[in-house]
Amino acid sequence: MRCQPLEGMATLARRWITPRITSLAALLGMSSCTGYLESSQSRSGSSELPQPGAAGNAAAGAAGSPAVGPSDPNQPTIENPPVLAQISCKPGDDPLGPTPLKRLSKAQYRNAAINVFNLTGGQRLGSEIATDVLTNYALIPEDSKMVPNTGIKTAITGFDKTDSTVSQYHTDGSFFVGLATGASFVKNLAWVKSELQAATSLLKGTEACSMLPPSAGCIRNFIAGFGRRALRRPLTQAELDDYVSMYQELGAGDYLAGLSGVITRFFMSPQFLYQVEVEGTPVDGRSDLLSLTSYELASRLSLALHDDIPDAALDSAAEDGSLMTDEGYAKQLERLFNGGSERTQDILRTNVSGDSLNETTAYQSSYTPVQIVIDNFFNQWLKVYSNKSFEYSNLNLQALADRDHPTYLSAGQHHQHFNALQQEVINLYSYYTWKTPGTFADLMTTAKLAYTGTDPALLLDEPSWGAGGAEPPFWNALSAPPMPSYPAGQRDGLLNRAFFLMSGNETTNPVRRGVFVQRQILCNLLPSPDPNALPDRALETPEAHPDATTRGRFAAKTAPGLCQTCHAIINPTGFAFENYDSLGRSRGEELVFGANHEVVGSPRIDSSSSVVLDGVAVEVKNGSELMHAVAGSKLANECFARQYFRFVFGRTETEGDGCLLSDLYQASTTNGMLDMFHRVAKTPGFKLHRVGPQ
Amino acid sequence: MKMKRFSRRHCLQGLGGVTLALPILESFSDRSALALPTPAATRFVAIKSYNGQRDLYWNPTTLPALTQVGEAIRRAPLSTFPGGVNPICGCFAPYHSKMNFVQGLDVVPGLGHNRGGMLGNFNDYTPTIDQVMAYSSKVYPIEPAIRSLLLGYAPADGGSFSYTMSSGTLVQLPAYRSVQAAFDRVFFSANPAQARAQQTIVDRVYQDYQGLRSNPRLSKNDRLVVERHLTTVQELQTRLKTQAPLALGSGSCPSDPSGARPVVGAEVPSSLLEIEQYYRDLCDLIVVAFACGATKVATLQIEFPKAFTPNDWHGHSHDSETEPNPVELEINQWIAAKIVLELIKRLDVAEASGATYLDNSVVVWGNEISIGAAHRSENMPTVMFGSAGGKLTTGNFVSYWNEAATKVPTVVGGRPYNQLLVTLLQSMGLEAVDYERPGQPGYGGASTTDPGRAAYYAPLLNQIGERLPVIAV
Repeated sequence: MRCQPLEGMATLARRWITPRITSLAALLGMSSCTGYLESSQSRSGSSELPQPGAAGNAAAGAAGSPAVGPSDPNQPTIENPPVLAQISCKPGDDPLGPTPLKRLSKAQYRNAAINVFNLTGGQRLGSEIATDVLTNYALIPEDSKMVPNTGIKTAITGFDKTDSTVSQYHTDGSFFVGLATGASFVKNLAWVKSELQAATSLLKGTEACSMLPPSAGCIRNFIAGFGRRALRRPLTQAELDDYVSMYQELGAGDYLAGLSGVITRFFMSPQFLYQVEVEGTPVDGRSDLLSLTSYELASRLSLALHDDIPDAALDSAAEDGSLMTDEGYAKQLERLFNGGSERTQDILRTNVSGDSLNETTAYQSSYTPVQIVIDNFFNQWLKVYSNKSFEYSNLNLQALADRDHPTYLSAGQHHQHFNALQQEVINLYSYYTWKTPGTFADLMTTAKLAYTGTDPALLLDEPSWGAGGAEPPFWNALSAPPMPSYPAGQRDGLLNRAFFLMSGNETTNPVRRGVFVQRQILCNLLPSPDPNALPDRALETPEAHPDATTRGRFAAKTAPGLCQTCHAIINPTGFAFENYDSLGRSRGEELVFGANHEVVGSPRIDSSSSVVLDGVAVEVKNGSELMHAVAGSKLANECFARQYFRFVFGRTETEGDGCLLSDLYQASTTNGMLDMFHRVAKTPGFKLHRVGPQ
Repeated sequence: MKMKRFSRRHCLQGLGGVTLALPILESFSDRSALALPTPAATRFVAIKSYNGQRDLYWNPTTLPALTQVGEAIRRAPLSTFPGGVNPICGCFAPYHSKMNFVQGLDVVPGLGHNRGGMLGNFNDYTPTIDQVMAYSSKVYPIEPAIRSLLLGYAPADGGSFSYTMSSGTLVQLPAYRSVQAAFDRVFFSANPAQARAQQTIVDRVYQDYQGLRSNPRLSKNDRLVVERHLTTVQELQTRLKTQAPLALGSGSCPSDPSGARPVVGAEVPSSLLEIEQYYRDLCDLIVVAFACGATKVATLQIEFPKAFTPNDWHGHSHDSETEPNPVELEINQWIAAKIVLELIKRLDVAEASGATYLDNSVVVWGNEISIGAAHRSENMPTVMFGSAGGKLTTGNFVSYWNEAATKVPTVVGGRPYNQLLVTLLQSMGLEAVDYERPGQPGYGGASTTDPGRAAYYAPLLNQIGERLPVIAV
């Protein structure tokens, strides 16, 4: 591998690879040729198809398109600040950027809705009521994974927590969840009694309620106690009076109706649905920089690490103020980070993709909440649950597989193989997080053979497999002897695993591979294309030719200057993986199929490429070399910190976040990924709220 | 799991089957104009099952004499299939006069496994037609209790097969898995005291957001978020106040929904028997919701958790294109007889006009794909019931398969599925202006990157905005 500065590419890199987007509209206009290519992994299931733009339903409803769904609130567009261009930190810099009002993610809402009943009672009421909550919780829309202020319309580029959408479905959903939960709660008088006792016991010095129907004082205590958990802070006197007043109105003849109504209102409350941080103390007299209150800090900590509301111990630390001491904070942080939970989260897998985690693989009961959340980070970052399986009805793909592995895509087998390839990715990031904590670079260059499927046929082209023998199931392997490795240089790095390489059909998709690296690994904010600005047929796959490789066809297709605006960046990255076919197997030549699925050509592949990293053109021969180059890239390592930042804070990094990101970057590159996951809550900015422009 | 049956059994007397049929609307005691569904109200039900149908069992192996009624259009009365069109649909024979069996409808883009394809989302940015209906003022001149009742179990993603674009991005809508939860949703404001309480709660919630909006520490963007939320709360307030009351106590509509609530505990039934009951409960709920005027649009998806499906439904459906598989046959027969037929029976009960709910409805049973093993999207399995209040003919076996184009009906050779979508939309009273996009006639995507498919379908696309011949009146 040799590196050489390349002025033209470096210019492009400055323009593109640094996520400085000064004119999003201009970029959208320029990005004319990428669209089809990244979405063409298979005929089915692309979630990245171009939107119809002005002809889209919502936008064009008035122009005769179907008005589908409740009317979208006609509110001004929220303009988010631009993404932080460069990560740096110098004395005097702000500890963090503006902190927007954040809606809880769907997973966080679910956990809050269940565990709000489960804080002090010891009755595991939360898990009992969970079924009722969950049946209605499904009505809340899945969070899209859109990165909010980048213009990337691809819905799975970001994380569930970055979805700041507020729609009618969210409000209706919270209404019906609240109604159902309230109704479910009051139908069991033992629950009511238990919760009345638990809630009032939160209020020290207050006598717990034990009689039904409850007295007026008991109700007031219940609202105060339950409300403190629901709103994640004590109610103000005015709020308490207002809730009591509503209870009296609703419960005049039926105290259960009153209680049910109170719960419904809490479930719709802004303090329940959002992370509201408005009560802090100004720092250095600045009205735009607030030190979080103990309750706000508890809430942020718990939501960041557990996707959940504070548990009893954390709530208690917030109440007695110990959380605001260095020692008390460290104690809670370590407990939350390292400890398990008796709460119900272990039975509730976070739906990371909208595709749902496979229900047949029950979550590891031994997983701590932090492990679940960090798993979600990796899964969303790497789109582990967003890839589609083999499109095995594609007869050319079957022909490709049949050539060496005749039964690989047979009916009933392809899903199993897909799952095994998916699991290999999970195994690798889990290994470098929990078993042998490693760095981002370790993950990007690993040669570990973590495939644990039952049929390694696909990988038989790798000589080491036969020598290494079959692997035991990975979760046992975590404590088993060291994993074998692929021969160095053959399949180095996470992204050279078949899961990332498979396209779904018989040809590779170098554009999709390139876009994945650029967006997910290098944080290049490649916008989605504007199909209306493209020439006719621009998005169609270049036609096959017996003598042409996929690389050659795509290179020719995207050669026009308009296309090169993006494809000068995308193509070289994707072409480096051309030494793997669309099933993820190593190859030296590409098979081209004819109309009857017969091989009509086998041109030699070329995976050498010149990829711009950190403003320098790097020559690589194949995917492994590219991964080593990426591992050494400052931009890529910074991107990893950026991605985790986005996941934790539910927003893109902006001006003012440089110091916090620097901390994460240092932790990740110095001590490894796990340390970065831990470190985030130790950064000074984590305890602060910065008010955005008013 | 112990399943305590609906005391809705009481409330559903008259809907339990043809033999129990009662003139349910005649017994309505409260005939408030708003409370009653209009006599001609047309209703829509889409039933979707998954993993396709095996050609061997779906396409009739022997056909009666078919009448050529147009270019590549052939028809025979369903009465000429006394034992049923195919081994799966044999149980429908008593309803042949109110049914259509449609052959030769192709999804032009091709789909593979999908969610929304049956109703027009061909893995693109097109909402499904049930949502177009649900938010049409032609279907709902007055706010209903629930615009679309999306039901059924879907282990793959927990969602329905309905999609909306209301927020500018494609959103898969959730489905109610739980009968209880769905029941509560339908009747959430049935009790006037409950309705008033809900309005009170939402009014207070509105005040809560107003309070937050006035907090001086919010940024400009934060305030916009709160204002957006306030708008949605306001819309909810409006809906609660303008919603048409239900026809409680009238005919099959329970007078006291709280007493009719099903008592099924879990959302996931755990045995075949429970699955059967689970879907019957959902069918009952659809009919009750129609009878009460709570909704006019419902969808029901039929997918079981793998562990509860005998020998893995998905695996069986995909094992071969041509070989027999008795298990797959049995499963699809079971779906037809235990779910689809049960719903049809329950709907075929007279309402005020003298026609039955079924007559005034259009029920379509479809699938995500055609041949499971090949994941094909041609000759999509389609069975329709009801005449949509006279907008559709019934009693037809119709084949749109172009024999001249191919010898096999399950590869490219039919007409675009889009015409079925148009037929369904118009059967609910919608017109082209209500669903067409500028410059795009009909409904749903119709482009393909496959040159062979594109060449075949090209001459058919000029009819894409038209209703299906023979079936549409």
